[in-house]
Amino acid sequence: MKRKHLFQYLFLGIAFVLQSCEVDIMNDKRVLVTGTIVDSNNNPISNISVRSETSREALLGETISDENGQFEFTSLMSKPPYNFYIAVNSKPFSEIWHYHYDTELIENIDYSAKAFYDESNNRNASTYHLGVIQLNKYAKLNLHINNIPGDTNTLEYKLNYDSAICRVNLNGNDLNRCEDDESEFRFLDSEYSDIHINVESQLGTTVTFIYKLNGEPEQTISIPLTNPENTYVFEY
Amino acid sequence: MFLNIRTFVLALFISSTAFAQQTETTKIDSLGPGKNIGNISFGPYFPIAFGDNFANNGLDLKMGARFSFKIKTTKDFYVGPYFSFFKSNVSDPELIGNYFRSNNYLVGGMVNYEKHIGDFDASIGIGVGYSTYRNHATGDNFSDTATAVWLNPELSYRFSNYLGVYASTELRHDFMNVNVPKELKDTFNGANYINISFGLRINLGTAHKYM
Repeated sequence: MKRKHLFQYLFLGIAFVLQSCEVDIMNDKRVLVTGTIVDSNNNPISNISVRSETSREALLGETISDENGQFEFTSLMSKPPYNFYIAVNSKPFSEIWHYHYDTELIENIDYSAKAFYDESNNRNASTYHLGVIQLNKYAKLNLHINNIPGDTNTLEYKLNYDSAICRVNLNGNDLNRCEDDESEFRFLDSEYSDIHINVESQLGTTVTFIYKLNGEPEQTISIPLTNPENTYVFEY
Repeated sequence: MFLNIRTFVLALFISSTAFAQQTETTKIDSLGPGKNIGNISFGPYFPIAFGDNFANNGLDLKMGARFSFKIKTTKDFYVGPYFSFFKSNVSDPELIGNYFRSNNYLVGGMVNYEKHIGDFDASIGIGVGYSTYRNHATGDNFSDTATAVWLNPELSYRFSNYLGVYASTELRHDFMNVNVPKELKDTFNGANYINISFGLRINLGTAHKYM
């Protein structure tokens, strides 16, 4: 009986050790990451961090851009199914994925950030040439939605905008194209009186405010972000 | 760099001494009675990388240890297993990847030609083995592997029938298995070392009483 338990404990111990040995970095593999970081006027930006990571927060490689905005570093590679991320001017991508509205995740708050990701299981790429990466200035929109007291109007709305941390698919056709960020339609009945929304986006871009008032057809308002801090008041 | 050159010159000196001893033909080679089984040697191991590769440019190499077991086969020829390891810290993560520590383990086999000259034993051997770099990164570990070949001149001195000390140099090349883009080929194709070791040697069998 004791011997039987001994074997059971031994088996469990081995299983535990094997489980804890699970790795998310590929053996015998390195990749090269290169690119150039510029602002919206195509001027190089120096001292911008670039990091490659796994979805389990293992830091695979990192550097900062030089005075010409250029960077190059050797990175380890995450093992599928764990994703491979390259974060430019942002803190670890695993945090960004869930909290990408939080500007605390941007390292140099003067600029927006980009997060490139590779979710494919095919990790044959040996070089990631990211080309010219344009980081627009960071901009914020304070959107106030006021329900004028006494009305019984209802409002449905959603927002389309470029996030301050824009996500780019490394397997996409255009590495300069951010994935659109948009909120779900939100319904406000007459009990809501004053809503404040902070949108963290990029200078020079436009926030699209799409709404339906009392179930009527959709209306669209384009709000250009021309300043680092912008305010827009919508009353209904 | 200066340290590397200085150590390289020291290694060459030890090697040349070993070869010089090997050319002297004054004494017999285990012709007396008794049985020469072989020997075991072990001691600290000092790796010195050279060339344009990840080991020289991206690792700060630390001391390790070496173990070899030579079994006599035919006259003057010995074969046996060989094991070595050394530690290192990553000094240039931008060049080789973001990990902070690497331990190298080499397991292989050697063929040695050994001559006994008075109280000295001079040998030269070649080896081939499997080299593993066990790398420690943030939150995870991973490995780089290689096939290693090396040339190993060694000189030992017997201060008793069964015990002696040895000094050896090792010219070693690791053919790396790392998959890299062409821009990193020079860095990761291979690693070159001149390794120095000295330590204790245990002579097995009774033949050394009569040498």
